[in-house]
Amino acid sequence: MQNFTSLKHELEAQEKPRKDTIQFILNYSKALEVKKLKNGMEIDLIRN
Amino acid sequence: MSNSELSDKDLIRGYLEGNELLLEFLVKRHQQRIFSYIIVRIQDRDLANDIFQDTFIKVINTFKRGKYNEEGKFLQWTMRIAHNLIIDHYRKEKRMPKVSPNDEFDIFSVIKDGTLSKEDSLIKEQIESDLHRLIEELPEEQREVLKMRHFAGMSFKDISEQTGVSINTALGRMRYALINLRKLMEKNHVSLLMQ
Repeated sequence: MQNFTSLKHELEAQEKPRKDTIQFILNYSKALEVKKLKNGMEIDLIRN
Repeated sequence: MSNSELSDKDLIRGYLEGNELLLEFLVKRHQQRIFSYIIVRIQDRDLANDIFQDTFIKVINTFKRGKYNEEGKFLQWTMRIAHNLIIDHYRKEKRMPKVSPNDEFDIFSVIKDGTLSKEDSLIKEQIESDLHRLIEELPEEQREVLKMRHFAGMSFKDISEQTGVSINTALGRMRYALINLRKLMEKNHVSLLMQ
């Protein structure tokens, strides 16, 4: 099937990630804190 | 003004000012476009979720470091991150031949069927066979346009001339062909994914 891939792309163009994937991203955002030290170095802090 | 009416730029600005809820709006606004882009290239739902997640972790890291400067181009920027992570995945899997760095190249152009295992080839054949069978169930006018477009590679202008309808009608028939094909896939439990 010559153009199977392009048709497949169109048919699959309504896919969404799982809810737990979205939730992980939102939780990560809330937990991440970037601190800049006096020497200019940045460190990531993950709060529980 | 509700959050859904805010531009990406406004959502990002509000998020950077501490409103975490706006990130959720931003992610949900673009989730379908970005995830679809990933899954059609990865063909593995779990892995696609991982790549989607990693994409937004990179986005958040950039935001929180104050290094985001893609004014008004959030989606394109995020798609580029996803695109690069997909390439990284194939490099790690050693399935991608070395190519010159080129932003425009298509992953499918370098992953030939020859890389598929025997099992994958059989599944691919089955998917194509299922799809052909379902296409035959579409109303004739829709089936005709879909075949002309996808298998004959015709433009909508050519299709409209060939079938004697306006371009808008041809576009409409194509749209309904895809909607109905999705419904048929759901009804017949046909998945296009090679799990």
